[in-house]
Amino acid sequence: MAIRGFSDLEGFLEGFNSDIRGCFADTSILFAASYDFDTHHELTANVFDILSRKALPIYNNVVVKHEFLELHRRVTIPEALSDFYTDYQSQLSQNLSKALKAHQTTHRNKITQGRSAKFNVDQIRDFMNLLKDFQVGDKDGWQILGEDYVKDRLVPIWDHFVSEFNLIQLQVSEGDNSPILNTAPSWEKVYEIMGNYLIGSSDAMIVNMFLCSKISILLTADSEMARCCENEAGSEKIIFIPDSLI
Amino acid sequence: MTETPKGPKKNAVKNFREFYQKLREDTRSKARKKAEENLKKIKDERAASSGTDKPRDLDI
Repeated sequence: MAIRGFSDLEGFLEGFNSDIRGCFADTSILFAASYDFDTHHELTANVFDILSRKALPIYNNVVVKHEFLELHRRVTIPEALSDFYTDYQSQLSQNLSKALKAHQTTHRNKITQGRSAKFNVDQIRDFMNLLKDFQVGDKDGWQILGEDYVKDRLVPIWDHFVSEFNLIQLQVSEGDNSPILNTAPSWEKVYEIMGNYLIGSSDAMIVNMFLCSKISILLTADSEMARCCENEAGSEKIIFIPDSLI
Repeated sequence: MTETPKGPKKNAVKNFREFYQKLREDTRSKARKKAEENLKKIKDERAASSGTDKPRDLDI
């Protein structure tokens, strides 16, 4: 079976031999490792400790970097809004105060219950519009939120994460040759994956890069991506996911 | 010479979590101080504007 639980990873690596020593990690598993409120955060510690002991490098591509940063934006803004409300509640309009208070209550409940506290883009846009009406000097509330509550948390995380996890980014353009690749990735294959599995374009690009590479292990916490890779690669590649998702 | 690819550092998840939590606390602490300054600015602006708007005694 091409999909296995993380509990099998260490045993599998004992006899592992491949042209390319390493594994491909998608956004879901890297984000889980980086964000302490993610459902799979705790179990990632063991997974990456195994890779550390085995000195097994982790590959990813620029799409993973893009998604990683976007996910951090989407969890940092809700946290920041809750803190913003705590600090500025005495000076807010009734409308803004009501919206932020409701958000803070929901956000705290989600964190306490271990549910995802990520915003979607519509929620971000709604709060952006509300905060633009709040003014301190020449700055509006949205600028204050960015500059004082979010920026310092977003700027350093990717570089620090890369350094801690020794991530290797595969940088390949269509038609390029690389010693890591069996075949050059093509956009046609990305379209095909999107059409066949109805997954997003970013996920399809990650799947495509993994399928084109000589890397035979994928780590993911996304069961859709795992099944898509399993269908496309058959038994040639092994996909490890949290045991709870099997 | 190309560097040999390495695995993640020992305790990478734990180390990154500590870094992230410190980042969260430091940002929170700086934002709180900034908010105190901004709240003072708002109060000063309001005081100044209510002073300006205060009706003057009619000069009869």
